[in-house]
Amino acid sequence: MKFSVAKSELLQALQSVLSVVPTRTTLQVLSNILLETDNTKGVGKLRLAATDLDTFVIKTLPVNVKKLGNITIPAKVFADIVREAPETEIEVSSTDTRVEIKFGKGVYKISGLPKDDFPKLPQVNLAKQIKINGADLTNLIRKTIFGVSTDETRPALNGVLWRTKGDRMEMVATDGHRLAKISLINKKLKGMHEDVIIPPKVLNLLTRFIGEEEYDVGIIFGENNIIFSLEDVILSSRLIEGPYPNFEQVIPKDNDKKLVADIESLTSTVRRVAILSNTLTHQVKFGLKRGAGASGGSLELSSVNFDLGGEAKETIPCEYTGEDMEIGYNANYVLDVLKQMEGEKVTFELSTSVSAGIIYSVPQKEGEEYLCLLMPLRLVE
Amino acid sequence: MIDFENIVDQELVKKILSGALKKDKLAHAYLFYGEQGVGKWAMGLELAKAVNCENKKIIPCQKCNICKKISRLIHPDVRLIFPLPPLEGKSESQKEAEKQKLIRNLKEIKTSDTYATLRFFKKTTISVDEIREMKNHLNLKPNEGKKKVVIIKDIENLSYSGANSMLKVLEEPPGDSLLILTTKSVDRLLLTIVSRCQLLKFSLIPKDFIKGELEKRLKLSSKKASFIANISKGSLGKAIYLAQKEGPLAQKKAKDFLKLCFENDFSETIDFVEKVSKEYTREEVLELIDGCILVFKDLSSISFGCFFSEAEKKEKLKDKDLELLRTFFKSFSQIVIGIREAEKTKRAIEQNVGVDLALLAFLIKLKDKKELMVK
Repeated sequence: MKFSVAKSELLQALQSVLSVVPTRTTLQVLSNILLETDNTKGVGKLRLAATDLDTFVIKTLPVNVKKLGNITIPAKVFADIVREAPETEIEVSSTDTRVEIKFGKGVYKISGLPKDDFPKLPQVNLAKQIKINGADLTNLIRKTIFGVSTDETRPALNGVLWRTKGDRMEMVATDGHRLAKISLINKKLKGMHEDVIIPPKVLNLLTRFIGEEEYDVGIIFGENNIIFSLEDVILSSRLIEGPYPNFEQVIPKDNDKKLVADIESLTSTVRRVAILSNTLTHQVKFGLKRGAGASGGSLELSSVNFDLGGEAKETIPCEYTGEDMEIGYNANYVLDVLKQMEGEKVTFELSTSVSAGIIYSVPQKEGEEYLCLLMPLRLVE
Repeated sequence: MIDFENIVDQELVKKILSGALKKDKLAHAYLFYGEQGVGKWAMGLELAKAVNCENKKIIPCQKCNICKKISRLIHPDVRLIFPLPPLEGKSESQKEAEKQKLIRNLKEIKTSDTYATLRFFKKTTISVDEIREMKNHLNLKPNEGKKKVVIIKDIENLSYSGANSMLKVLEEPPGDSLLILTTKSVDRLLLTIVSRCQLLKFSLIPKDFIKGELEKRLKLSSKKASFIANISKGSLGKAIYLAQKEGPLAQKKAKDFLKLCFENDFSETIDFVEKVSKEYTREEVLELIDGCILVFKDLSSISFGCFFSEAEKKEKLKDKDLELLRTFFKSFSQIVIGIREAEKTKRAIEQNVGVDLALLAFLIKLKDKKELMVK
């Protein structure tokens, strides 16, 4: 294999794959990255691939290919050499087990391992891909991923569920205390009916790669993996073994008490009151008082911290027409949810002080249905 | 067709497993038990190949990329867990580096010969972290193979909490998983582990097979191979180890050891035991005691005058060391007590009693004629 490329381009490409190279592993080859040159249709390309066995990142960049071939070399060392190299053209050539990196008058050699030792790259069949708007995808991910559980005893909850229902696509994440569910209209996804559970790691990477750019992301659903194809990056991840628990049945249908508050003032108040909350439970008490008419209700937020001898209390106006009620929440959970809410007002649909409440914002974005479920903390009298 | 050609003997195990494979009725977890070096690990690998092999005619084909990767212990879906001695590095990163190095070494030994035995100087353990990582691995779908396989070597090294933490996954592993546990003694495992696996016993390998393998693998002469096969007690792993080790063999060593202890007075014996306990690894001491048992066996053969063959009779009667030892072990009951004490000492060392203390106790019991007489 032999190719040459400008340092800055190679370094940039390397940095995008480096993030998945595991720092500790029992398979030596995983600390390597795969370099492979390709010359189809006369366009010289270099493929860089790295994996930690759960996630694959494959990056292609245009280079001047002089000889076809492939090899894997220690990722960190290679990246260090390229990083410290001067801003010039870098030439990389390899024999079966050794790589030679040349720039200016410097020659650096490291040994590598053959491609066969490297885990098989995911097969990317672009004909099967379904295109989804990148912004839509990041929206889906951002609004659910915070709810993913880290509890090892329930592995299915350690990922985000992605499913299609009619012409809507749905993403759900829950850890048993809270649940986030979003659905968007997407007619292209109609053919796909299998539920997949995606580890959060690849989704975080994906949002990072998509960034602020506006383009479509190709998605291929494999039997054991899911592949995201971006312009010059391919991400793939193993899926989590299902089945996902039936979450629909925990979403209450007949919560009759409705609280509407201003998102901004509620967020800042919760954040303030939470300072003096119990450091373990982060409990903030929501005291709801009925108003005379549609508006005019009041929401009293309070917290107690016995260790500090601290107490906080603050009241904000809200719309509330149900019976007076007190309900406790983990402030962090409330803030996580409020952070994702768009629009001006947020609605809490509640039933009792020990049952799940539904939270959503008004007005919702067009074509989008987003709701969060939050379990209250039991208040100790 | 299913052909476990890499496995020596163990016809029953082969039959059970190939039957299960044919009917696609493989259990989700197997516990392979039997002496060290009889092919438990090797069978684990072959089974991993069999469930993942791409070939349709002969499984495992040993030729496809998957079989090759599994043989080289680098297949991403086949996770291997070894017991490890305590790590000595000071910081976490040093420890991690040492662990990587150890595992690499172990893998090298096991790739050079699947029957090779791993030897450690210290008591080994399987950490709970290892089990946690295994669970994470099993919870995801396979990478490139059809099934995720986990092979845990010498599961008896797993701590109580580690064993408990894997009960759930062992009872009901996530889809497409196969767990293979190997152990030397089922008795040392938690019942809850044992009851969740299908048990397969690996029997000792007949001498002729071991002899044949030694000739084939290590190109030993027929005479040497048969000698080693005789003293390897049905373990191919042990035979390979003995064959590869230069210098005097265990039996010779044991004779010297016993001679030294009986010819000299007690203070010298103590010095000698101290030396042995410092220089020998735990495994080597166990071998030495095994050697002693073989010597006792020879002594009893002589005292009864019964041998397997004329050649053996000639050889044994000519042996000067045995003749000398016979003066210390005159009656058959003394020999029996010797064997019994040796077994006790072995068990004590396996249960982590200090080598020097155990050996000393062993020798005192042997030398204490009075006690011998009473019994």
